[in-house]
Amino acid sequence: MAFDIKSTLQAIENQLLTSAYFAHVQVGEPKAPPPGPFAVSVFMQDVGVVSLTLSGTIERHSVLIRIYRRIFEDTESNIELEMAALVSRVMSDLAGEFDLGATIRNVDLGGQHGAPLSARFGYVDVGGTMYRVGDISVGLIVDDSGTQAP
Amino acid sequence: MAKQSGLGDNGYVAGYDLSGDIAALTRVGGGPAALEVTGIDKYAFERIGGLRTGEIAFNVWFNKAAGQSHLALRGLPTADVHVMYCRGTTLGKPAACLVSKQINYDWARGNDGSLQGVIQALSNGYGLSWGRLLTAGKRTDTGATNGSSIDDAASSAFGLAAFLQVFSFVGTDATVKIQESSDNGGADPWADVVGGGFTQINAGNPAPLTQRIVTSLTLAVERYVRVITITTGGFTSLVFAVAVARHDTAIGY
Repeated sequence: MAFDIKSTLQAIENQLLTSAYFAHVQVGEPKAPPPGPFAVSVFMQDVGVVSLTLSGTIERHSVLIRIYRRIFEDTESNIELEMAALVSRVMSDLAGEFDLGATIRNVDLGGQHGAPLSARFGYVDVGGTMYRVGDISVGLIVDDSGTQAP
Repeated sequence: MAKQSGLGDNGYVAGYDLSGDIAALTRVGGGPAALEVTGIDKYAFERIGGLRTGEIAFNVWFNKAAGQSHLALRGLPTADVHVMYCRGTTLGKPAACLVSKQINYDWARGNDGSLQGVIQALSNGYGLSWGRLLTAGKRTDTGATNGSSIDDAASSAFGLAAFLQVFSFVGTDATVKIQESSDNGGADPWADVVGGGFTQINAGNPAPLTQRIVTSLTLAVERYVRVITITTGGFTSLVFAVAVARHDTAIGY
């Protein structure tokens, strides 16, 4: 089997959709302002094999979850508090759904094979609209999506 | 033959395919103990072979799915546990086979969240046997089947030992047998190896199961050997693996 990175993105997308925190969940970066006060996009950062079993691979798929909040629709303090709460909830959900419904081996919370679960905040412009963003970097340990051939 | 890596290997334990759960094989070894019998007239140690031993030790990831590592290894039975390491999964590839006692099921949970077990299987009754796969890794038969043969280049005169791992079985009964021929079934038709039949697989002897057989140790074995399955009541699926260790020299068990 080829390395199954698509399934990892879809697993994260499903996790975010079922959380119902967001009006809009998108795989890939949006080019136009997403609808609703909150939105989220998911995209890959890097992929690598970190270990082997006798016949398969153990990979780390690193995914970036970017949460968007329009910055001119509320006071600065409310926006900051809402972003902090939402990022916390998404990170807590990732810790609590350790294997994303048995679709992966586990979320790399503690940094088994790379950087641990972490978040950074900033600002981006999407199609002329300014957003406060929270970037959650999450590593996912995935079993056996590639097979070895001697 | 080019040098090889260990990529694409398989590991079977007690009728379970744990290839995807085994992280590393830390030891596949064995051999006779060296007994020192040095005479006073010698200038170096004299040694003779003593009791044979064998060991397959491996690290394993925690997997509680059906048929995976936790279910296969947690039982810690006092009975024998058969372990088979396949260096590749094509017909004729080397396979290390061990009738053993699984003496531990030890886990370490790291601060980074990793969970890895250490398992050691020590031989019981026999040493480690290196043979060749008579099935391409796991073979699935959906009815009585004549398998492909392997060519051992020459006949031998000291019998053989064979190891069976049955992973799943659906049907009434099936019997796995080893056959031989001097010319791959040409002028010399395939014939059963005397003592080369495993116990019938049926409701009273269900999968997962393992078995070791050994023929007479003075049996002549032809150059080509293969594995066939036969049935009297029929079956729809038999997933199994067989490795055969031909004795190139006289051996005792």
